[in-house]
Amino acid sequence: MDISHKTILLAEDDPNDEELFRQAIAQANINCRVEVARDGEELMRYLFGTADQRRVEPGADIDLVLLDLKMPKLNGLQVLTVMHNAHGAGHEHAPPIVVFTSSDAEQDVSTAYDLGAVSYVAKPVTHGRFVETVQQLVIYWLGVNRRAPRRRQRGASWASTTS
Amino acid sequence: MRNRAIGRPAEILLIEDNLGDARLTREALADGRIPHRLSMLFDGQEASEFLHRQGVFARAPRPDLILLDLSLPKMDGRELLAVIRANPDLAAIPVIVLTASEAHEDYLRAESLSVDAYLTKPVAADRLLAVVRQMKRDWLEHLLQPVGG
Repeated sequence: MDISHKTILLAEDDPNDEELFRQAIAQANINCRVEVARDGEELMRYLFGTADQRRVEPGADIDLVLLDLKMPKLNGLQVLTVMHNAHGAGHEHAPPIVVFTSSDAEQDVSTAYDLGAVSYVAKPVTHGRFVETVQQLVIYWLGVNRRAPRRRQRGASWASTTS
Repeated sequence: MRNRAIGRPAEILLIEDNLGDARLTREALADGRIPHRLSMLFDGQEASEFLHRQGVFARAPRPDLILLDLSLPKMDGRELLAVIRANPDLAAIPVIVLTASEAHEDYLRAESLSVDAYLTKPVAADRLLAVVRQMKRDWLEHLLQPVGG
């Protein structure tokens, strides 16, 4: 599958888990780009740009965010809260956020969905299942799923029709 | 001279498919102050290829120590152990079997597997060091010099 023009932003503080992720997609010949944010603050800089180059659209060049809930500085739920608040303020085209985390707590699952995560996946415990799950996630979200087309920024009526 | 490793780092091979356990073992090794290089594999088949330097593992290092979980996909740990012991080039490598509990360890001891030691998971740095010291292999003599203060 050629998805070489697509970019995943992987929010992952553990370099070993990043390496496992890269091996998993390489094994399935998935050739998308992978950017890595090591903590919540770095992730926010990727999505919103730095202070001197604010982005009009958060994460415009990112096609999928894989979000670990347990991260230093800003945790995953805090990042989701910021993204959620940015939504509806001209930021409708933010990338889909898939929570990919070791937490299986019901509270985390429901909070994540309330804050706009499109999917919640618990990291499998064994290596074999981890590899399968990563491959399925990436193939579905970057290869199969189609995102909503971009709306024009002007004319609030465009956005309000969806509610 | 502080913080200077003596000799080369130990080559350690960890074969474990539970990612959480693998992480804890890796951290115990890091805490244990044994200068080492760690290779991690997740199933018995790959481990066998690594040890025999086949395919992508053509330039794999020969491990000084193997940490082995017995329940592995593709090739079971017991089968891998038999492969290791049957090969004259590999037979002398010390193998520590990682077990899920002390009860599991007792159960395994009854099988009289040809292993050097057992370690209950999660692996703790001090237990790992104690077990490695007990084995008193030649390669350990210089590797177990303390690093730094």
